[in-house]
Amino acid sequence: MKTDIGFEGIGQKTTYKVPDGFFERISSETLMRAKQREQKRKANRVIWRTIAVAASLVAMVYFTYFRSEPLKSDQNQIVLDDQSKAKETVNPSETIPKSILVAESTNIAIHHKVRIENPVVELSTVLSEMTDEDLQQLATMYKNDLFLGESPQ
Amino acid sequence: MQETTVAPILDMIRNPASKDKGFLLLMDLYKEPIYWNIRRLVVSHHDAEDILQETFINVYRYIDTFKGESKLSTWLYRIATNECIKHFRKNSKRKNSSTITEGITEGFSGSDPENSEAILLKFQAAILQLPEKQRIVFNLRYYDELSYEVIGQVLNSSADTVKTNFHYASLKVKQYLIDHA
Repeated sequence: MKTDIGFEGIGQKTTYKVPDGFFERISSETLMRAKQREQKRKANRVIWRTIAVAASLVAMVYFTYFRSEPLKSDQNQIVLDDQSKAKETVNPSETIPKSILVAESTNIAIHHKVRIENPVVELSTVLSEMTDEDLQQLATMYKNDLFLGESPQ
Repeated sequence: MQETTVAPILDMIRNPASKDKGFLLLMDLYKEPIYWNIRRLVVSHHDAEDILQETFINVYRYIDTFKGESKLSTWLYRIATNECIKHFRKNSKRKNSSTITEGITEGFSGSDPENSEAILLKFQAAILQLPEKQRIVFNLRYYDELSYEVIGQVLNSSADTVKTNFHYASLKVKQYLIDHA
């Protein structure tokens, strides 16, 4: 080997030695190990496939079983939601002004006109839906009631 | 090694019926140069044997992925070199200079303590003190006589980079021999 630096005096020899018969036996030993490794890999592949199939089956059973459960509970939830909505609409203290609440307490039929579907009720809407008789009663009551005058409205 | 002699062996390996026979023929063709390449890098015979086996086990498993874009010998050197690098990474903390020196003298006969063997020992010690990549390049170029282009393919580097690495490695080896004369 001629290099541009030059180690011609040394050559390509090394001091390394190998055990006797090493090169004769290494081929068959390596082939044996390669085949063992291949078999192990195939066995592992079978195991993993089995695990994957089993996991898929478990997942399928799980979802099939619990799929019906959420439907039932959803239905219950809908019933509960409706009940709570109804409660919200029956109790209109958050949206209806104080004067209307007073009217309610004096047995003027206002609350039954408030739609259950829409708990947020505008005062103008409530007033427009009232009959003349109701309005007159309300006006009378406003005049007679001392405390209503203190209302911010 | 003639690549033309390799083609029928490759065909044999790719055929499941003659895979084992083809594999043995391939090993007979390449085991010695690949072993010596590994041995010069890792020094210990036991490590070299393990890496050689691992190299050819990989060949047995992945031979179908070899597309023939490079020479088969280049592909084999590449697998072997990668296995050596893996070995270096794994043993980087364990190996020290004393175990390397033991490895060099492991097979030293001692019956002929002439200058020639002493120089050889010194030369191998000089190569072993090189950084990892320079050591690989130096061995592949100096002992296996691979071209810079082929070494570049083995190491996934450019031929110019390989040439530079070899140049610096040679200078360091020469300097070591002068310092330890």
